[in-house]
Amino acid sequence: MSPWTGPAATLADRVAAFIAARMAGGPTESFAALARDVHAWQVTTAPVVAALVEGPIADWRDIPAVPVDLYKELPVGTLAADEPAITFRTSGTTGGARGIHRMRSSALYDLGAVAWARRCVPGLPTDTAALLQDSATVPDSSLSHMVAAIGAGSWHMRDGELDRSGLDARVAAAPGPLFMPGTAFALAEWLDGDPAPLPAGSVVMVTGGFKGREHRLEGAELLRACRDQLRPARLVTEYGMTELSSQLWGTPEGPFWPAPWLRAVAVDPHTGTPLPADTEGQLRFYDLCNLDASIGVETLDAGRVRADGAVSLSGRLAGSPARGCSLTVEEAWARRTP
Amino acid sequence: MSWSAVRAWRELLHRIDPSPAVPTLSGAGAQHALAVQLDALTDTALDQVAAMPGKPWSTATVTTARTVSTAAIEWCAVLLGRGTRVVWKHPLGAPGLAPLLADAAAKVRLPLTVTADRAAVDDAELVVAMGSDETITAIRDRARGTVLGFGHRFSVAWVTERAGLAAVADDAALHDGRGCMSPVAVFTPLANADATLAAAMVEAQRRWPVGAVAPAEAAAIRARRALARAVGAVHEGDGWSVHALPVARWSAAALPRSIAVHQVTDVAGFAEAMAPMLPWLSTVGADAKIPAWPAVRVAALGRMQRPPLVRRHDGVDWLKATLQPADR
Repeated sequence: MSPWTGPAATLADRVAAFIAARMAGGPTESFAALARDVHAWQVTTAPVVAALVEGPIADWRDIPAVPVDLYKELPVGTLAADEPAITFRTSGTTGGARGIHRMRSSALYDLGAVAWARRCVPGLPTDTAALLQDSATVPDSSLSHMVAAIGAGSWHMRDGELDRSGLDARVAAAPGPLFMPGTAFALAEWLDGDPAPLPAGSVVMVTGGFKGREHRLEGAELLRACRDQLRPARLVTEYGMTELSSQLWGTPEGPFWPAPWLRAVAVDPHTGTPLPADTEGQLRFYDLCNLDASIGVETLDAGRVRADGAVSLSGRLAGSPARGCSLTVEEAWARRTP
Repeated sequence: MSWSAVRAWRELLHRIDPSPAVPTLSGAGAQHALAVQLDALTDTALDQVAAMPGKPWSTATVTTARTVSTAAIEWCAVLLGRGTRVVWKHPLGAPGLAPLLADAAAKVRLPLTVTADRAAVDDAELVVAMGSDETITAIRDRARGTVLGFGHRFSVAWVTERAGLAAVADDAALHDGRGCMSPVAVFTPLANADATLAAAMVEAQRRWPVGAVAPAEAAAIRARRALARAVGAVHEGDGWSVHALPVARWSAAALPRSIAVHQVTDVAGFAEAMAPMLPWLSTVGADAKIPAWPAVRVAALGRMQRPPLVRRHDGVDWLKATLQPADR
């Protein structure tokens, strides 16, 4: 039974139908119409979203995008505080407040995540050995949740430490190709131990960065070392965020491709005005699956969005305020508390 | 001792145009920032420092952050006046005023050189390090001499009289609000102080137009604006913004020409908000009595970024700390 009721249930059905039709290559209603309707419902039920509306919504790009920092500060979305929810939280690696994304159900999240992963990586192995924490142990990790939705398997990070021996044994005993998703840092750690090549047909997925940690292997060097040592059939990249319900997939040499129900816009960080295609700016996403939160999400990442929708990521926006001058009260308490 | 040369250096610096060297500030903003820094080097203050007993170091390196490129001037003046040879280590790719100041120093035969090379801290007898906590830790790891480290701090204003808000706008305009002594927020029992401060920000912008704002800074200002739309009030104009926010949403983020205003019932409410942040609090600009907090400088409104030369810096007696220990 759908956890959504009334207009929300209708919208959820329309989003699910949009996903199914786009994956089947059939006709769908327009992204713009569905985006406007989802936003209109969110305005009536999500006070933070409603507060950000400053003018008429003539185009889906006019829909206000909630800055990711607000997910740390305020309850963004359509759920009341006492409503049961699936909750994803940002990592909070800096010791600061964690962004919170709550949803009534992960049904749309799972539907979209699995469909787009399998479309972007045809033949994706179903046997997973993840360089991540078990989704059962960290149910608030959206990344572990996504990987669990894509395929069952084993988990090889515990309390932030790589389970190197378990991972090596798992690879050695694998009867067939493996899907090996992990963060860049975890992969770099594993490669330090000179692991054996993967079974034929295996796919390595790299996502995220180093979260403030340092390693000798970074960027292109890390990917080269991955190819040389692990010899995967495919090396793919993934971009996702706790605040989003949909993902982008790509290759190390190419851009990221958003799911058809997720659109990206680069905006001028000074004004929030959308920029022409292929112009570097601050990335904003519009995600139809973010039904219970905000359809528009504004990141702190810089990149370009091509006319065909593909996204090239440049990294974090330049010129971050000095860290020590940017302590939040929560960070200060975190630093003071052993 | 080279105090006469330091005075001559100061006079030369009064005549330079700093604006090309400080691209983050407007021309008027850069000239204002330099003039304010030089104003602290009064003859009286220099005489006071010269009269202090103690043995100077032979060599010193002063490292500066990107945020306030004039911050090293007073340190260099004191060290050079005492006869110390000084290297000014600036951030890679961001020399700021350092080359101009070194050129001026050479004209009056003061031994000031500039570099971006991290090795400059290795063998200096004294290293004065300004920057992030991570930077200072890295400097402590490699320096063989004495290190005086000053990490990033933040400052706030406590305003009880509406007339004081114009001075807060002036404080926020200096260095475009990026300095550790710039007010990042106003705490006040006054109603509608945000609107009054907004009017003052317009005037400050007219006198000292804002300089360049980095993409991440701009994004952070817009994020705070969104927060204020949701739970507060927004005032904004060309190059400035004021956000009225509940005190529960207070953060010490230093954003260029963007100030948060938090209304509290009384000074106890202000003290409560500061409590978890005291280790990082540099300066309170105040027009009324506030609690005595160790290591926190209290300044008149409008003087927050104009500290006198003879003072404690982040709780440290820096004029004494830049001399050799008595038992050496």
